[in-house]
Amino acid sequence: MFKKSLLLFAVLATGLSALAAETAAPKAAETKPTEKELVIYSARKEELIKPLLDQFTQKTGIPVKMLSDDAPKLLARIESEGAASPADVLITVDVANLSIAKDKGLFAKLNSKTLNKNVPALYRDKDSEWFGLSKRVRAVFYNKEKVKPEELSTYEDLADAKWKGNILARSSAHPYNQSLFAHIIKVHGDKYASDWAKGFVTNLARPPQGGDSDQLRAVAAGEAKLAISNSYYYGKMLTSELPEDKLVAQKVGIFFPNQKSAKGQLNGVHVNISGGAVLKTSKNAKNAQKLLEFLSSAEAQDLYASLNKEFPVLTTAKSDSVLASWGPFKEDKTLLHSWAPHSKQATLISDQVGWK
Amino acid sequence: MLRGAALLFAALCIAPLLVIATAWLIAVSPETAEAWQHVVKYLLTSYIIDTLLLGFGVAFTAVVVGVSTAWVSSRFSFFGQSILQFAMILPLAVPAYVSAYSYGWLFEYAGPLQTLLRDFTGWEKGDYYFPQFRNLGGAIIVIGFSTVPYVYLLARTAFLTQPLEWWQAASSMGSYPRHFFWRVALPAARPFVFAGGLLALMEALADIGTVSIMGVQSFGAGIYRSWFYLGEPLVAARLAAVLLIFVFLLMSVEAFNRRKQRYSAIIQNNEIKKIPLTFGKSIFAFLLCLLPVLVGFVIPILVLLRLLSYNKVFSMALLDGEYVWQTLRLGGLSGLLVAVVALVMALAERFYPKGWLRYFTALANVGYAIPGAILAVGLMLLFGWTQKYFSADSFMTATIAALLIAYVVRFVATAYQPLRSGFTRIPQEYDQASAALGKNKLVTFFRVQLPLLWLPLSVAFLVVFLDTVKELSATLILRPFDVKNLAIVAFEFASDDRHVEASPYALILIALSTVAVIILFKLYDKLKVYR
Repeated sequence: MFKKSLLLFAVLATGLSALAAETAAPKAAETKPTEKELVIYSARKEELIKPLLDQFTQKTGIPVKMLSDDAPKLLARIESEGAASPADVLITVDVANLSIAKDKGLFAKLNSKTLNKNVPALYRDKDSEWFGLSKRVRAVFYNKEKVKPEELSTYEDLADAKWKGNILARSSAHPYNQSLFAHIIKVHGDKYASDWAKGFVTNLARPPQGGDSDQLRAVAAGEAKLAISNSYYYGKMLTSELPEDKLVAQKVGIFFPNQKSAKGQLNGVHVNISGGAVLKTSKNAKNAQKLLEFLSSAEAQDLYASLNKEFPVLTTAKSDSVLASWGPFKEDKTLLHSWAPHSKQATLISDQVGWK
Repeated sequence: MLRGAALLFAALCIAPLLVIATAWLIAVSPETAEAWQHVVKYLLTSYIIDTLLLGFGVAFTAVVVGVSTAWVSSRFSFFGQSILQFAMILPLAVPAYVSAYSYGWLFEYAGPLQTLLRDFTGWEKGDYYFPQFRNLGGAIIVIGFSTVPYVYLLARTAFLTQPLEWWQAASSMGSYPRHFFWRVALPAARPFVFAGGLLALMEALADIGTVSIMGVQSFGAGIYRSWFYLGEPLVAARLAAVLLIFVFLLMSVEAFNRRKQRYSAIIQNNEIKKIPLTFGKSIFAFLLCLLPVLVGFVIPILVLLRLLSYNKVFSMALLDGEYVWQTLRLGGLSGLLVAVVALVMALAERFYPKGWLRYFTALANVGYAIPGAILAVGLMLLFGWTQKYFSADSFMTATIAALLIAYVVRFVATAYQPLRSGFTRIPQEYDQASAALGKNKLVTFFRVQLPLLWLPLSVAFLVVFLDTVKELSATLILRPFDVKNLAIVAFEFASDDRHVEASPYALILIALSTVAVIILFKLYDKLKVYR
């Protein structure tokens, strides 16, 4: 028995050290990126951003590696790593995340002619710290059998009693809804926004659940007449290889609200961005800036549209056939960084009116 | 030495919890104070109610199903019993968040069941009633059935190791099995059942994935929301501290409960002759034991397979062996490390049962009830502070170390339980005999205790391995580059609404875990033999 336990102990010890060595060895080399290796913390999942990064590496010879998680956790990680952080670039969705990170003083100021030229002023930080890389339109989707597009008008109208029990949306806590609501607060003020949210919640067909695609599926199945969702989910369903997804997309129509809105309402559709910034602690800032410039260039912007069905920020980017089929639309021109700070208020009001 | 090591490990486990608890002592900005007021006014009541209902609902489900099935399968023989008694613990292989998603999709309006119903009857919305699954009840079912094996395993071990003489004495007095269960077997097994129920409850309190899918406003969900969506770490930490106190109270009750029963005995040859059931009762027993297997294992897997079948473009090339290897490596490493840490703490408690140390080790076990994401961020704060005292080039998250520390804090309780009960089953007389022979503690440990402990140790390893393989939120945020296991890949697809693409990874994850679970069960069966 003694031998057996000694053996067990030996196995444990060697196993532990072998596994540790196996894990630590390659990591040790990575703690200090070489001159050219770029480290990206990304709130966008690898699947979406990988093709773009691959192309960047192919073109420039700069190797790239990335780590993905939700933006608030990545920010916590960057703060915790402090000056030693290996991260060079932060890529995230939602302008609120970018503006929070900026307020924490995590970003470097960039002086790039290319970025300033490619990214319209509306979609970049006024102090040149973050830059939008794609536009994400929060549109209204309707069941084609039950709703005629003529019945639809504005975001504001979604709180009207005529839609009672007929709207679907994901959780208010999700940044996409948080931002739309922050935008409404910025345009209308707290009082109106609170009443609007109350009406909107009453109109919900079920407690918020699932992601944007789930809302589209439910509308197609007839659980409600309308849903709010980002447009690229719909775009990807239209071009999906899964017949089930295509079927959903065929039953659902896309509507860009607030195209003919009254004075005082949002003057066009709500547009959010995905964007990027170079971190202040980056030891590879030049290449980091190169990456952002590449992502704003025509070839990358085309990919955003053709692969992800997002709208390019670059006005001269090639038009994707699916996106073009939705026709032109008017965007609300309220500066993004002017409504981003209302996100917190949006969450607070959502709690008060019981929008889960 | 031993006490020093144990204290060090315990301190390591307690430190991040202390960081969280200090939230009540730090002066907050007016903005944070306002946010806290907001939480108290609008959310706290539902957090408390949902958490209590969820926690006790889960514990109740796990205990009722776990104990009844353990009793039936340990005392009676019936059709299918030999397979079911081990199939019962398969739910351990399915992460609760996977199960939650599967059921959510299965039962929702646009899901397969309701679609079939509408296609068949021509009904539309409002023409029929269909129960909602994405709510508190759904969460209780999902987490409850995923934790049934905890109670089942502990209760079954308790029943199987109860002295045969009790059973013989009772039957010689003409007692029915039913009476024996209520008057003797269950009361004697109470500490085991309580421990299992507590584990289930803690699992429910630490959950974030399932509650967010099911829309339950538990403390876990509230902490997450305050921190990451409201941007108020201190509000989140205050909530977490309240949760910690609650868990600590529960654990004190458990400790008090256990103190009243302290026996150690080695029981040889404890083969109980199982009572054959009549046909009708046999069917009932079969269905009873089948229920948790269906709910916790078979149905979620069928749903995943259905999702997989949608995937026309799926190719095996996708299944890079790398993800499997990473999963095994991380799980193995974590299992070994946590088992060793727990062993040191259990050993210290063995040699110094009355000392101050036991309060520390008890506290160190609370980490199991803290959501992984919260723990991870607490740890990061801690690393951030300590970093100032080390060179600026190094940071914990560059290596796997940070992640392993998180696993230790989070899972040490699961490894500690089997080891401690392993120790209690080694009679104190053995230690005393060894001491009387002039052997020191080290020799006593290696020559006397360790040979009797290798089964509990393996159990500890496997339990932590399973927990690690399924862990998601701490792994996501604390991992170094290139660490990408099956859970993370599946999550990345799922979080992007690409459940069809996520399904093969979830299935492989479950397959791997199933192997570990089967080994675990074999070990448990051996464990009872020499006890």
